[in-house]
Amino acid sequence: MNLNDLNISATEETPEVLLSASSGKSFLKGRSLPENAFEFYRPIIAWAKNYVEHNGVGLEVTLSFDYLNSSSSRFLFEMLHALDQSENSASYVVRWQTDPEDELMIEKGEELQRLLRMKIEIV
Amino acid sequence: MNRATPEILKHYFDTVAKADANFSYRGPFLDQFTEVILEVASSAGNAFEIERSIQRKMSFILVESFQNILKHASIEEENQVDNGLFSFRLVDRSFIINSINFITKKDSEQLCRMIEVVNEHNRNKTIKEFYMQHLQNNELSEKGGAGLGLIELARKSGSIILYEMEEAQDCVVFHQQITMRNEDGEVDDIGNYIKANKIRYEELKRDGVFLSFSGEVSQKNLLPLLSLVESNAMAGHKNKFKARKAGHALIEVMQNISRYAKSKDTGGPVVGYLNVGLAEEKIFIIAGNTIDKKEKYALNEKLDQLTQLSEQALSELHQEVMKKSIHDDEKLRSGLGLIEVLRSSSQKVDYGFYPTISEEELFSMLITV
Repeated sequence: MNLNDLNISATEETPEVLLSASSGKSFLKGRSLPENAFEFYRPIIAWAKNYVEHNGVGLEVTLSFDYLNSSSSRFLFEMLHALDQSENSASYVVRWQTDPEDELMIEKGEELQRLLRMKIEIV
Repeated sequence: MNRATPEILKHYFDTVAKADANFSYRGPFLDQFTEVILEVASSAGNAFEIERSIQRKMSFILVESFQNILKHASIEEENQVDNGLFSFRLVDRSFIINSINFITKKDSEQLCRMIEVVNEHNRNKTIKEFYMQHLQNNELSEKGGAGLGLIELARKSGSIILYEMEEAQDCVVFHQQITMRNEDGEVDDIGNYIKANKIRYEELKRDGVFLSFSGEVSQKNLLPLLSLVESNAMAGHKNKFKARKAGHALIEVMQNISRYAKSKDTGGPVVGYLNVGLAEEKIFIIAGNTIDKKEKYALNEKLDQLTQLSEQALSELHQEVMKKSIHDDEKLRSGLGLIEVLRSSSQKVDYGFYPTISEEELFSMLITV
């Protein structure tokens, strides 16, 4: 598929990102707490929409956050919602990686699950 | 008993209203917090456009004062309730650093002599020579540096070190003020905050508040304040995920202030008030900002409605707002932040509105994690 990888390094307030159509292995990892997360998530949402438009199949995304503020939750949902609209969404695997003791992040994962058709594996 | 109430903010507000920025931290004092305090101060300096030269000196003085407390903290007991206080305020473009810490009687006598000598040199404008002389003699005390730090503090601030030694049961309480005046101001105009600081310290202790901040609320000082709150929450909860819950609440509270206070953008910094404490193993946050009187009714009504909702109902509302947000062009203010603030509290959020001497109303909110 002719879609470039999106690779963003982590900062103190934004996560490390790798979105790869070629390998199918993708992740967002770290803290996500920018005041207005739209600017940060805009390319991520665009990548997801493009992936769907290119009929991407078999994407595996691992999401692992120490902090996820409400603004980030909102735009992360927009990215997942874009993937959810795909005809191939059944082939996607979204893993919500968190510690079993981290009640807050587990709850956030479950909330996203309720908003989506595709399955989020909380691991 | 948890004494925290939204009214506390009103009282603190009255005492800090004259300062552009005010930061008080009631320990524990750890080396890793040096950077944190420096970042908060730099952020205040930048927000209020303080000259670079003053900011550079201010950074040095902050680090040196804080390190002095760490170095000379002689009373190190396990589970110590009193840690002392480290605070700075920005008033009329001048930085004033006050500290309260506990030292031994022996150290206090030596310190008194040293401060008197340094102050005398500062009055006689011979502090630089004294510094050079001291450097050459290279006398070292048991705790490293024969007051070189103190001489440097006096030299860089260009002001007399104000202090007071208070005899306590088994130690001496050392109160200190270093003043870093603005380029036009006179040091004498600034005033002595030692007494005010003592009162502040007693109030913070009484209320269980370990961090009190007023000033620009921005992403720049969110990160250092977050690290300070996380460390203290960690010490209270002994569980990193619970500590993160407190951090999460702090993020939402500060970003909510920043987002909504911006609506009346006057071009100046967005000012907010933040107090964080620990009571009954729970972290509490009392935070707020001033709002126009006409905004009060809408906010009050909204909070009245939202705080009546059960945990389940709030969660459902959150889902609903999230769903709607997909089709919403408003990228900054979706209302999710306020819902998240309410959800982050393990107890019903308490809030209040208080008149101020200006046309504004002070809004205060209590969140318990």
